[in-house]
Amino acid sequence: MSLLEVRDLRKSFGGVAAVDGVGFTVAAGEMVAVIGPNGAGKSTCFNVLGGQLRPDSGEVVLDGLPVTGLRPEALWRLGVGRTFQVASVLGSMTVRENVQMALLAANRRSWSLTRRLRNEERRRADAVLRRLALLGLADSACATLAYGDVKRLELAIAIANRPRLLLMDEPTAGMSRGDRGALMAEVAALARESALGVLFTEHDMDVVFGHADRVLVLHQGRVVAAGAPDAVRNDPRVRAIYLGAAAEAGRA
Amino acid sequence: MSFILAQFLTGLASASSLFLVASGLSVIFGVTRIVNFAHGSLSMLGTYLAVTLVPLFGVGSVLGFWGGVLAAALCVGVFGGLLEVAILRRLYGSFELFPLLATFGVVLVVQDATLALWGPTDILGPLAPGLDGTSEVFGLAIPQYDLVLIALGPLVLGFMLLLLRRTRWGVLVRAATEDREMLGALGVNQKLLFTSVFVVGAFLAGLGGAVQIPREPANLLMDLNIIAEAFVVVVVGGLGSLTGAYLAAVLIGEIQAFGIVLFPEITLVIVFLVMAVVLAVRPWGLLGRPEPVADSTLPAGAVVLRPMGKVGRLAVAAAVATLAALAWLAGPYYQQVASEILVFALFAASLQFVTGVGGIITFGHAAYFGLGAYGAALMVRHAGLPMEFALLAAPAAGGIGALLFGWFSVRLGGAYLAMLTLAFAQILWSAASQWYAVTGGDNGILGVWPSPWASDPATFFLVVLVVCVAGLAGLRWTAHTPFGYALRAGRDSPRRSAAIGIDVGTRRWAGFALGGVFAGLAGGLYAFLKGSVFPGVLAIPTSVDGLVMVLLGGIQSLTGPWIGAAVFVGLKTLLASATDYWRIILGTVIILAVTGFPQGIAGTLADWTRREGR
Repeated sequence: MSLLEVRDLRKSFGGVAAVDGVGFTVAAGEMVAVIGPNGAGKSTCFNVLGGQLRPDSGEVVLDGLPVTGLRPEALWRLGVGRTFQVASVLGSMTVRENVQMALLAANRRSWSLTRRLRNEERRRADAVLRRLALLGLADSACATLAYGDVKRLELAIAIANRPRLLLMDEPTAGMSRGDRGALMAEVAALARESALGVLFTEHDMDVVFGHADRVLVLHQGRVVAAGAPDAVRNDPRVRAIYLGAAAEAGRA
Repeated sequence: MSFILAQFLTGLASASSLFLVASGLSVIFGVTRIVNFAHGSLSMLGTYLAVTLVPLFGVGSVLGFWGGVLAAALCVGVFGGLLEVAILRRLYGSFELFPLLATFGVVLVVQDATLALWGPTDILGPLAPGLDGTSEVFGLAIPQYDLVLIALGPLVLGFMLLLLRRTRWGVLVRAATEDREMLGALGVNQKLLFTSVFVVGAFLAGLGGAVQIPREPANLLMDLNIIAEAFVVVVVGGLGSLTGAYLAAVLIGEIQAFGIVLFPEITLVIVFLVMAVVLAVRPWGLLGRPEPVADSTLPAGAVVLRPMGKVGRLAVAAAVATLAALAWLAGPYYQQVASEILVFALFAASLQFVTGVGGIITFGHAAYFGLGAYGAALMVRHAGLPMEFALLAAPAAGGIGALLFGWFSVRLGGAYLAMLTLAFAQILWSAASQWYAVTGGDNGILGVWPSPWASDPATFFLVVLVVCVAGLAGLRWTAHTPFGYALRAGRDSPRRSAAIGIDVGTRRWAGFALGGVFAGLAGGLYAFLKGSVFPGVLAIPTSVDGLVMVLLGGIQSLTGPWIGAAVFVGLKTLLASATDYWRIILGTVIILAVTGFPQGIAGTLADWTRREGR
């Protein structure tokens, strides 16, 4: 059984179908990239899967459990981690506190009024930070981090509670070339080690074809191609979408 | 039957004036995203200018009356334009608290300026010539002027809708309201547009005030009464919808017209209940569209919370010890001043918890302080319970009030929140000053004395000290717990918080209620400190005092409110004894503080938003 199964997902905004009957699966331990030109529906699709938007119709099944339309809070507790296109961290906290909060909220212990946060979940938080080479920055305020480190911290937050599925919207946007490869290698290692399914969108084709096990191509809200990176790369429909009129003209 | 029709028409007439004011507020907010707290003051200025100008233009003549009314409205329009150019222009896009505070500074300045220019007594305006009689409508004698007002509302609504649909200016206003990026793309002179919108909005407010002169004498309470009503109208109608504002104005006008006859003492409670029902069914108002809860700009200097260092702890211990020593060393007067500072420090700290830690910008925090004070006073005077019980009832009253009002306001962000919190506080204030049977109205509740064992001034001072220090420590502790962190997480980034399992809406509600508990405790102490409670404890100036204390101490600082309260209470004690016009000084200080260093604060904010990328 697949870890994530998406069936016939639809979402329109004012009559315009942003996601128009999308279906696919992600297996445990698999890295699946979603690509497509701007406006293809990638972000809408992600926001539906992450619970930020409710779909008009369709089904999302996580490990056999229907999770369609659940709110982000509930999805997190069911094991869905999320990073955003523009890294979103808790700006007024330290690096360690960010991860501590992620762990506490997952266990519904973020309502506690009887303990200080300082010592809660500290060891688990530090283990996550060590894994992503952020331990040296544990006591730094987020505000002082370089953007690449903020991106890594966001990943640390997202994987802190050992999710089963990780949704990453443009994980390497805004990062330097070297940082990109390192981050994605880290994600790939995590996916293999802990059978974590990863679904990510990306504009950088080196990242896509270097790290994805499978690639899904969206165009005008529909899946137009899906399969192994090489097969997708050579698919004429995909080439047409990406190269557009120029390719058509060249062929004519 | 005839009674119903007569009241109905009176309600329609009031609705028109209310609509004029509210429509200006709505248009200004739509374009500039500024909630203009001074809008009620603009309307009050319209009334005062009209009672002055109409006699100058000629009392007896039709031209003189309407010329005077129009001239008054135009003057207010120009004044509104000046406000925009001089003050508000500097504040677009800054931390949302600043424009609110700046316009509140204007409220204070206008209040004292009006007092200085026109004096404290109410001024009756002239009647409209030719319209001072009654006309027969369905066999009823209806004041002719009311009929004119009834027509005026729909006329202005139609005119505004035409203006918005058919003119280039209207297109720009709609573009700015609905899609700000498009406005930039149109290559518009935004400065001119924003100023003109303020002129039009202020003109409408002035007109709404000016046409009231035959019906209501000009008085100094108009500004806050009108602004609270206008907020209710705008929120019930739906922010940005003029038609919605008219419908809501009719609704509120009718409730008041019938309520004043049927339930004179609880008219405002009915207004509140109707508003509650509308908002429970349609959170965005009758005709409003859902707006995504805006990601609020992070307050200035949103810094990492660190445990207090050794030096800090020693300083606190020394301060508490020094204060405790006052019980033996100082006389009753200084103990009274010190008690007042402590009580306000607790109040300010509870507000800092809500606003600074939770990022919930409230303009009605005094409501919970006042609920605590009245709760305690009622326990002692009506239920005959001793101080110990009353001091338990006070935080409960504050907490329950915050829980109730918070449900409506805290779920919604930004502008709705600011307007609703203020409206709630004003409604409570009105209820407290009208409901003589329970609250004693303006006469207040007297004889709220401590239990015999604590009645000695020095002992009572120690009670205040212990309770306040415990309260302050409790708030500080809460900020350091996972609960406090999760509240702050919701402020930092609602999106990230939700993605790690924090339900931001519920959390904000809980944080708001907890702030209400501590504010209520402070209010309870205040009642015993003064031995009496008056409606002023609930009034909007008390809320703003709290905000100023928080800002003085630094909005992010947990210790700040202590210092802010000490400085503020000290200064106010000095000022109030030195001059009657302390409001104008306070108002000017607020305006200068907010506009004077926009770079310092806005610069920090810009850094933050850049990092957050939003």
